Formats: sequence, structure tokens, C-alpha cells
Amino acid sequence: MVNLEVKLSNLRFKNPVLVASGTFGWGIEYNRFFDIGLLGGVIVKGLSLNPRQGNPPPRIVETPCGMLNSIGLQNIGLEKFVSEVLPQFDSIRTNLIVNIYGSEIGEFVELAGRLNNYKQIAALEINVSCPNVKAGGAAFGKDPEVVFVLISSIKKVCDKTIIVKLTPNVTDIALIAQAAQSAKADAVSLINTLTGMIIDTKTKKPFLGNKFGGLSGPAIYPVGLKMVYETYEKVNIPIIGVGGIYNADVAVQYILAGASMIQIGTANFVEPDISLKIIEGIRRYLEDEEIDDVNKLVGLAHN
Amino acid sequence: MKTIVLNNDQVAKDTYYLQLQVPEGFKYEPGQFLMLKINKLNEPLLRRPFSIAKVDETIDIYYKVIGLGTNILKSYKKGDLIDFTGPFGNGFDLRNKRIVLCGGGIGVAPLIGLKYFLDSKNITSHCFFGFNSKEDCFVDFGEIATLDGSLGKKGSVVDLLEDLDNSFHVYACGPKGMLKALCELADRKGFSMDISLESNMACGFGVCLGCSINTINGYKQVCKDGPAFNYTEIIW
Ligand SMILES: Cc1cc2nc3c(=O)[nH]c(=O)nc-3n(C[C@H](O)[C@H](O)[C@H](O)COP(=O)(O)OP(=O)(O)OC[C@H]3O[C@@H](n4cnc5c(N)ncnc54)[C@H](O)[C@@H]3O)c2cc1C
Ligand SMILES: Cc1cc2nc3c(=O)[nH]c(=O)nc-3n(C[C@H](O)[C@H](O)[C@H](O)COP(=O)(O)O)c2cc1C
Ligand code: FES
Repeated sequence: MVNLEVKLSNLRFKNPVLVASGTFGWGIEYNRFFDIGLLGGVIVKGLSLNPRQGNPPPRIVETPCGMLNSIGLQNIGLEKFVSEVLPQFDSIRTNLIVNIYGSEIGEFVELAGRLNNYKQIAALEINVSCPNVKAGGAAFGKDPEVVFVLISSIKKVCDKTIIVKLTPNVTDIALIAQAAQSAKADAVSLINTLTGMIIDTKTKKPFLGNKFGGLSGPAIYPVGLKMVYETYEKVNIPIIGVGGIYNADVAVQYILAGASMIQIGTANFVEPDISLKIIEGIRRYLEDEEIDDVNKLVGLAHN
Repeated sequence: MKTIVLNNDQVAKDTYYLQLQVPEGFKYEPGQFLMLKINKLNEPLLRRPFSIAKVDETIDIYYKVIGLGTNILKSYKKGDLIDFTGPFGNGFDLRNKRIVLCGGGIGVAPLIGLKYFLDSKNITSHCFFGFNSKEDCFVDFGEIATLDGSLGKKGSVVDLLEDLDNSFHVYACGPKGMLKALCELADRKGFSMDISLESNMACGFGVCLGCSINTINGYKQVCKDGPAFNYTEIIW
């Protein structure tokens, strides 16, 4: 038997496979396809203090081996999340991670402080990287000093595990990861989507209602992989790899590059139960390679 | 879930009729759709939404070949396995009025299922379908209009609905231009109407929030809140 269990701060995960924010709804929707309790953890849709409408349609378009989205963090807001979604997690046996977003530091801090009261929540993933919102969004995640101040402030009001989700739309992602580490973040996840656009040659105008969108899907995995590899050499806190993972082989590549855990995003839309297959695929890989513990795989691509 | 392709034949210009084996326990309401996984590799990546035209001994789908995905779909052969999720979406909301079905082009597809359902309940309905030309027509019932006059009445299917008054309820599906014209007609004539809309979709069941459309009640998801909407709700 191989060990798939991983630890992050004081949390235990039954396996290293999480599902990425914005691609798994509020989690419970996927119960129609499989028992989401089998996952290492569930990261729910980006949550803000107040409900957000999101961006004008059209919001998605397919690209070669990927997609562009400009959802703009549409969500139901804290109050409804707490009254309608959270209670459903009483009976779900996996770690619930809430991805949060604020348009200014004060909003992030208030949200983190209020979520700290709920026992169903294992960790917060701080989204400083959404490319689809004007205020805050990726602008936060591009400045190491802002990241430091933001995460330090959140740590003061919230004692849950704090994961910082980074944007790839920067010159040096490791620098931002270091800022998160200095602010005592428990982990970093990378990457969020890459900014991109599509122009409709019939109308001769940008296709998306918001003009630009975030690129995700298999097309981006070599980019995410390189960023995880690079960051692994610069920080000591765990890295959670995300970006284009669509099978166990790519998941294993992320772990070899230095990710302690991985997240499945866009692939959930195409195959709702893909994360279960990837858990099994990782297990099989370890058996075939005669490695008894997934933790022994982390970072092996570095010499 | 996977099922078997039983038939995949051309029935009109660029239009195919796909029949799938009904998996055990499969339930459906008229107006719902399936998400078909057409690729085996990563391109095209996303599933494609298709209305269920009918479920009887088989699941019937009519589709128009327009791009990468539907070009691959037409190469599926009898006996091949195809992967689907669904059925998704809300079915048509049934009204106790005189019922009219109005479809344009491939938008006729979801109305075939509705017609079949109404017939099975002995509810009378009047069908009006519009196509560009005779070669595009794939139904053998209802009153037909073609833009070039090669079949039925010459002109738009919207013209066939001029006589309706507020005692009627219309279920419509078709291209945006036709639906917009129908909305104006409905405003003028006072009949009520539900329209089935399209939007680019990634998931099909309400988690990606990609298929939003603008309504008087804010953005709504075509896959989950629709695809059928009351026409007065839509902001074009
Ligand atoms: C609820 C619903 C029901 C539908 N029912 C039918 C049906 O019964 N028969 C039928 O022929 N078509 C139907 N369509 C449209 C069908 O989904 C598209 O024609 C098909 O996805 C085009 O795929 P493609 O790869 O050939 O085209 P491409 O142009 O290569 O596709 C590129 C992208 O655009 C999306 N896309 C392109 N056109 C449409 C469109 N009109 N609607 C939605 N997404 C689109 C595709 O899904 C894909 O993500 C339906 C659409 C929706 C939303
Ligand atoms: C439709 C959609 C919505 C997303 N929403 C969020 C979000 O709310 N918060 C966030 O941090 N990331 C969001 N993401 C980014 C994903 O979590 C993930 O980082 C990215 O898609 C790359 O992974 P993938 O290629 O596996 O999808 C979203 C991605 C998609 C495709
Ligand atoms: S297609 Fe994903 S929410 Fe509608």
C-alpha cells in the first residue's frame, strides 16, 4: 500500500488532489457525479463580502486545448454562503477551502476574520490573482509589498491555514511567493489563469464581453509547471500546483517539480469525475515506481 | 457516462440525425440538453451542448455541422461509444393556453421533443418551422416557411405567426435574429412566449458561470436557469 496522505500546516489531506476554485462551484453540485468526500479537499468558488454580478456575456470561449473565461468573480456573497452552502459541508468528509477575494485590503481582512468563526472551513485560499476584475484582482498579486501587508493582516485575524494564490502574469512569480512566505502564509498555490483574448473575425471585435479573459486548460500546463519548479527553489513553504492538469501524468510532473499538492481546474468541466481518476493514477504511478509515499516524490525533478 | 451510437445519418444540408441508446434510468423532460464529449484528445477540449429532440426507444439529436466539434461528431458511426453528461437544464414550462411551437433552422430540434410530449398527453399544438431553403428542412410536419420560397411559404417563420392573439402561448427556438423578431411580435400581439436560448458552455450544469445572459433579474445561467426563458425576461 502506498501512502497518499499529505499534511499542510496542521491539516491532514487523505490525498494530494484538490479541485480548483471557480471550476467546482460550491462543491456540492459535483455530488451528483461522485462522492466529493473522496477528494483531498474542495476549493470553492471565489467568495467576496458582498454578492457580485460578474462580467457581461459572452464570458467563455474555447481556445486550442484550453479556454478563456471572464466570469469576473460572480458569487453569492458571504451571508448567503454561510447560510446556504456551509451547513451542507457538515456531512462532507473532506477539507473545505474557501477562496476569497476583496477589492481592497480591508475587505479581504474583514472576510477572513468572519470566515474564521466557521468550523467547517479548513483553510482560506487568498486570491490575489484574478485577471478578470478591475479593482484589486491581479494588481494585488503583482506587488510583493502589497502581498506582504495583505497576508500579514489576514494572519492577525484568522488562525486557519492560509494559502496564497498567485498570478502567472508577473515577471518573477518566485518573488511574490517569497513575500507570501515572509508574511507567514502556510502555502502558495500557482498558477491562476494567464491573460489572453480572442477577436471575432466576423464582428471584428473582441469576443468576450470583458474583452480579455483568463486562459486555462491543458494548453497552460507547461507554464504552470515551470513556475512551480522555479518557486520550489526559492521558498520553503509548500506549493500547491495548478494549471492545465488533465491526467495523472501531468499531476505527477507537478509533484516532481515541487508541488506538495495539486488542483484540478478546467478538466472538471470536461470530465466531472476526473479528479478521482487522477487520484487513482497517482497511486498506480507510485506502485509502478515502487515508491511507498507520495511525499517522497515532491521535488524529485531538482538535483 | 458512455452510451452507444445507433445511428448518425445526414438528413438535410449539413444536418445530421444522431440516435443514442437510452442508458438505464435515463429520465428527460422536453427542453433539456446533453453535453457530448466529442474529442478523444484535448481538442476540441470542451463538451458541446445539444438539445434532446426526443426520447423514446432512443435518444434523438439533430445537429448542424458548423465547426471543429460538429465536424468530428459527424464521423461517429453506428456502434461507436460516445460520452455524455446530462440531461441538464430546465424543461419547457407547460402552459394552459393554445400552444404554438415555432422553430428556426436547427432550433427546431428541441421543439420536436416538445411536440412528441404534447401529443402523448393529447394536448393540441400548432407547429411553424422556418428554414433558409428546402435543403435545410429536416421535419415532416408543421407549416413551413423558407426564405427562398423553395418549400412552404416564402419568407420568415415569424410572418406565419401574424394571426396569433393573447389566447396563445408560443414555445420558440432558433437564431437570435428570429427570436428578437418574435419578441417584437409578441409585444404587439399580446401572446405569451418562452424561448430556448444558446450560449457558449463549459460545464452545462451551473458551476463555471460561463453561459450567463443578461435578464431583467440580473445575469442568469442558460444551462441551469434555462435554456428556456420567458421572453419578457431577456435583455437583448
Ligand atoms: C442548450 C443548447 C442546445 C443546443 N442544441 C443544439 C441542437 O440540438 N443541435 C445543434 O446543431 N446545435 C445545438 N446547439 C448549438 C451547438 O452546441 C453548437 O452548434 C456546437 O457547440 C458548435 O460546436 P463546434 O465545435 O462545431 O463549433 P465551433 O465554432 O468550433 O465551437 C467553438 C465553441 O463555440 C461554442 N459554440 C459555437 N456555436 C455555438 C452555439 N450556437 N451555441 C452554443 N455554443 C456554441 C462551442 O460549444 C465551442 O465551445 C445547442 C446549444 C445550446 C447552448
Ligand atoms: C471559469 C473559471 C473560473 C475561475 N474562478 C476562479 C476564482 O473564483 N478564484 C480563483 O482563485 N481562481 C479561479 N479560476 C482559476 C482556476 O482556479 C485555476 O487556477 C486555473 O483555471 C488554472 O487551472 P486549470 O488550467 O486546471 O483550469 C477560475 C478558472 C476558470 C476556468
Ligand atoms: S455552462 Fe457552466 S454554468 Fe452554464
